Amino acid sequence: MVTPIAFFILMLALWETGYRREWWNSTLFPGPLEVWQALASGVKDGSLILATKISLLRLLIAFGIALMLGTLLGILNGTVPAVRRAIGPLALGLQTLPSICWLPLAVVWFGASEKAILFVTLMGALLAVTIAVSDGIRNIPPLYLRAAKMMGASGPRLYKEVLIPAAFPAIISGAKQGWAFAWRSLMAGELLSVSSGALGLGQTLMRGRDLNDMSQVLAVMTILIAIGVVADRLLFTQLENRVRRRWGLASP
Amino acid sequence: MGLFITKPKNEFPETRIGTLPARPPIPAKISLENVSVRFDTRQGQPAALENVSLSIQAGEFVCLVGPSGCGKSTLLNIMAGLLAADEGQAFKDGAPITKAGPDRAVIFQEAALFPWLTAVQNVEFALKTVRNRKVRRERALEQLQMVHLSRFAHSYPHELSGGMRQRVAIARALALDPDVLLMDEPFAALDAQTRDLLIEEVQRIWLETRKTVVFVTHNVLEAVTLGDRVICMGARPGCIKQELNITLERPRAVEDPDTARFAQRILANLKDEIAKIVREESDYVEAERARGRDGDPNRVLYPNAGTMGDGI
Ligand SMILES: Nc1ncnc2c1ncn2[C@@H]1O[C@H](COP(=O)(O)OP(=O)(O)OP(=O)(O)O)[C@@H](O)[C@H]1O
Ligand SMILES: [Mg+2]
Repeated sequence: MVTPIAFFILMLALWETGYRREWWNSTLFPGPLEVWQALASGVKDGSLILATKISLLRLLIAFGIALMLGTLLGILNGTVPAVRRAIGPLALGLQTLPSICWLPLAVVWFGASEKAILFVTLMGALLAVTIAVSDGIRNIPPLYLRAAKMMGASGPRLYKEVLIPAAFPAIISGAKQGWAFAWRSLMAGELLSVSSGALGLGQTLMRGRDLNDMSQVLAVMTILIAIGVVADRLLFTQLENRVRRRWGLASP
Repeated sequence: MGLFITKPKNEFPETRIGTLPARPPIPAKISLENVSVRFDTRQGQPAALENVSLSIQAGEFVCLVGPSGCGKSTLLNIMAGLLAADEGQAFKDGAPITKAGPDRAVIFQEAALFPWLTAVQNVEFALKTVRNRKVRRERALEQLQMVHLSRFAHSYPHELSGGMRQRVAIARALALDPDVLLMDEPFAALDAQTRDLLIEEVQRIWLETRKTVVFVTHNVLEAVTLGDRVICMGARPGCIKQELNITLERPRAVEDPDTARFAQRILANLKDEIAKIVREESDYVEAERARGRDGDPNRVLYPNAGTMGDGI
């Protein structure tokens, strides 16, 4: 724990020194103190807080829909052979498509609006979640299903008490992946549609570029990193480890 | 000395075409009529089960023994309703078995507990017909007490030893309050001491509950200790070779000399079957080698039937 922190401080010091001694054009790459000030003033006047809130809200809405829809599709795909044959290859094909490629279509469908950004974010996460859940269900050991049938579990009860819990580790991994995809897609969407909708973090980033304010750009990037780390490390990885521990699986 | 070797007999012979079925007034708890199962449908491949008929009375403890691959699990799965016969039909209380159900509890070789539930929750899964949650919890705990696992009620399966997991599986099966208990080599993966302990536990539980039990095992001593009747099966195609009634008094112990004597008799009878399998395996390896593929007849697990001890 000490070494990474020491290393981190050393890097910051080096960055600040380089900036002060003008090893590079200081307007193109401001020093850490200046970035800190931009961050602080953005927080103080509320603009960065608001942008963060807007982006997170978009993310939660789109990711929430993706999670529900993806789990549903994944379960269908995993349990109904006919559905799997029909949409399986399609889902795999679509997953290779970077989700930002949906933006032109989304803009035509929904206009340069909130909906377009949400759609791109949703498409980023949906297929990852669908595929993870469906793989999770198909990899359930048949022994569990036979045990469940032997105990008379069928219909909704089989889904609720056996299939979904058995696939839960896979569902969490799918959610984690989906979240990462959604986050990237959201930023791409916001960056490419500055004029539309409320100012999220992506749009604020582009604003900074337009105003040639590199400390604002770097301040927003800092927030993006922080959100990414918190979500991945503190939320999903924790959840994943807890489930793995309960099941007695080795931590990855 | 109480050892009878009876031929497998068909309860319902094929002579009832055109006449009323000559069913006995009380049908057998479980009966199989000319059941055949073919996984490999290619010409010339032996059936997993061929024309097996068998009937098991209520309250009977029947053990199935036979060499690996002779169709013991297949037979059990037919009775459980987890597998459909290609020909013939299985009945329970005279009604055709069409699907799995809680009236025929299965205890699998690997405990098959749900890893996301604690021991007591696993038992509760079998008690879902009990609506009241408190009553359900109480009943589940009672079942765990029956297998001496009260202290581990709230442990997850991976926190239990193999023997403890198997005991939870027994508790779960008993919680279903089934008519028939079907056990597929439940103790095969356990060490000898744990196995002997569980054998005695199963015997005690059976003496208390008098359920109908079908118990598959590789271990002849286990079969003799537990069974009222031991059914020996042969492989390729899977069929019943002989049935033996075990009339030793209960409770029996694995280490009783009488038990060992019975086991010896059965083993002698099974030797031919084992020898046949060993021979087939060597022939196969030999043939593969003649075709230039890798294979060494000396590498088969049992180079001759004499070295197999009490296991099969
Ligand atoms: N699902 C399956 N698909 C194809 N063949 C199968 C299947 N299940 C069993 N068999 C074949 O059927 C035969 C009987 O298998 P079964 O599992 O009933 O044997 P067993 O007597 O239980 O053996 P063991 O003592 O090793 O468990 C074997 O030859 C096996 O290869
Ligand atoms: Mg078997």
